[in-house]
Amino acid sequence: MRKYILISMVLLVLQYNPANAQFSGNSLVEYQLGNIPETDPKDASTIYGQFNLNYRWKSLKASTRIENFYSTVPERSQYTQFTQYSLNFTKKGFKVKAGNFYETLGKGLLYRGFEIKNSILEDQVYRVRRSFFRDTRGIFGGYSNKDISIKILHGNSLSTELPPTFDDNRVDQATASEIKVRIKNQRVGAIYLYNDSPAEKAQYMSFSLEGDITQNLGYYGEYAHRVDGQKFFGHEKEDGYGGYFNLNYATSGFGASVEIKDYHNLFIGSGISDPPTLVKEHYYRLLNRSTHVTNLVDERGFQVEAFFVPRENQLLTFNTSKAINQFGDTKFVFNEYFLEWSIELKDERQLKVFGDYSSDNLLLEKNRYATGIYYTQGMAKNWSFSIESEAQQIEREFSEKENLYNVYMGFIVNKTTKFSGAFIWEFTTDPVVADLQQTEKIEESRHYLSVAFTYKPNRKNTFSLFAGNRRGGPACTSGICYEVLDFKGVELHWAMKL
Amino acid sequence: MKYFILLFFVVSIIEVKAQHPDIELKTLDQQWVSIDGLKGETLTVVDFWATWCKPCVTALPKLAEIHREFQEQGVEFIGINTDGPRNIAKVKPLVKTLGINYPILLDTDNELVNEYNVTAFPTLFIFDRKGELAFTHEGFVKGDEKIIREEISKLLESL
Repeated sequence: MRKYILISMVLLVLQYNPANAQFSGNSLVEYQLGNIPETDPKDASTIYGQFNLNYRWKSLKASTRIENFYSTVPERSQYTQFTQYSLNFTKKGFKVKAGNFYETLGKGLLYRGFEIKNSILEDQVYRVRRSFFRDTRGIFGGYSNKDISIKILHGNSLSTELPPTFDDNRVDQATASEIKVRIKNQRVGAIYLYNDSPAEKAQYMSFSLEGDITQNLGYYGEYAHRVDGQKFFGHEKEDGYGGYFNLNYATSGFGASVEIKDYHNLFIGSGISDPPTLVKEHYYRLLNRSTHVTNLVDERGFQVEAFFVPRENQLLTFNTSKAINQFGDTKFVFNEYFLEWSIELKDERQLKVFGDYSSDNLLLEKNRYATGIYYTQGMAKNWSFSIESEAQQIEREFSEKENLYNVYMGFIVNKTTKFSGAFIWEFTTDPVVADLQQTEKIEESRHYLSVAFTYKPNRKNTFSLFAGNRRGGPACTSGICYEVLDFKGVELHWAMKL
Repeated sequence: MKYFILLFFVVSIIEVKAQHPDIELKTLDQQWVSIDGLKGETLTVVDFWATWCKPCVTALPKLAEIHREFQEQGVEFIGINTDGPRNIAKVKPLVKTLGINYPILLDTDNELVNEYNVTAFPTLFIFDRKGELAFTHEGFVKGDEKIIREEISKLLESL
């Protein structure tokens, strides 16, 4: 299959007039000198590279991705691999994809593919670096017009837990179809999924309804249930099901969305399902790290987000969410309240202020308070500077109650997006993070100091340099949460576009 | 490693030709449209953004302002929202609240993102009336609105 696609791609390149064809592509190279703090060797040297090359001729497109990773530490597996290759055909609503592709069915309750662009993931166990995506390798066919859309797919989904050095990292073989039909202003949808994984074979179905009630009021509802040996509306302990409902209202100056979830035994295969989390994905550093990760064994809850323009050049954002996990007789509750005020001031100044309260008793964090101020000032000749500050207090109750603090400060200078220089300081008294397992003494606090520069000499190239100490932990980007490792050292990143 | 070097070589010598794919995406009102059907008489500005991306959200009202300034000169703006299932419910409320008056298309499966080789958010492209790529801008910080405004004026003058 892979060879066939590569040969087809070469033939396409050679056969057709380049005036009708288009190449596109990009590459990414990242060199690191350093390691997880206090981990030997401290001066480990690694390089990760990624090339993406696409060739389009009219409705046909051939693509390939090659990744490689080398390390001076022999235990960390090294590789050079074609990790993606595909042939796509798109014309007048018809789509056919062969090879690697991303596809999400419905709102992802049963099946979701994703890629976090330009991301490099390194896991704690294998310490192998790779791009972060979950795709399907197989075949896809689809058609859509204003009244109907149909999708059919068959293939093996990538397990994001395993690095490319594992031969068997596509253990889930999914066969699925989705149909959506428009009836006036409403759309009715149905999904069927059959997943064959080493653990079990399972069949699921889902039904959805979406549309506009009025010009300003819209909704989406989806209900999914395992159907092999289970009743579609059954809610027994062993049943696998999920429900998601969203209502959104939008008018000039005010908008809000209300979402409700109820997921039970919805972790399918090695994790091919990824329903909406209904927890705010913060772009503030400390809040992004304090996220709640959805547990598909059992979770129900809601999220409300509202936007309001009180005056011109101002925006208020309010968010509240709640998630309840019932594991046997034990109930865990996460809830959060967030308010942000964003103001465009006179003389090229911008201010963002936020306050946040949350609690997560699964993490034994009874009360979490956070606040922050981001100030940006424009200057002459397209220069600007930003001062970013965030502080967080967490009351954690393990064997005894303790108060811990996290602080983030950033000073950033920009000349448009062509150049940026940043000085970053983070501080924590969290013993889980501050106390290094590799040392004998008990560290009660930790500082993270770093500098980072980005330079774009032209539209094709971006160079980034990081030096110092970077705090890891949970991170969420593009709706996906993952774990970032601590790093101490120097990192050079070069992204190039064709 | 040899594949890696070969591809690097290929990437560095080949020439890019502009060509637009026939990809249709859903609007916020659940209609299927293609970019070609929305292009401007003189210029088309395409902005790839997401709700979780701070500079993207900062840029939105600025772009709406620029759109209002240049709309009468045949400049059309198109927003390509790339949010996945986690944040998609917030897109319409945010867009309407901010008074964004240009069409927003939903690229949940990153089809157009991959087609336009977008690797960072926000990314803004300006296409001329022939559909040729005339300007690319990645990221958004204070002062970038001036650069985008200047570039549109410059391109309009050259038409």
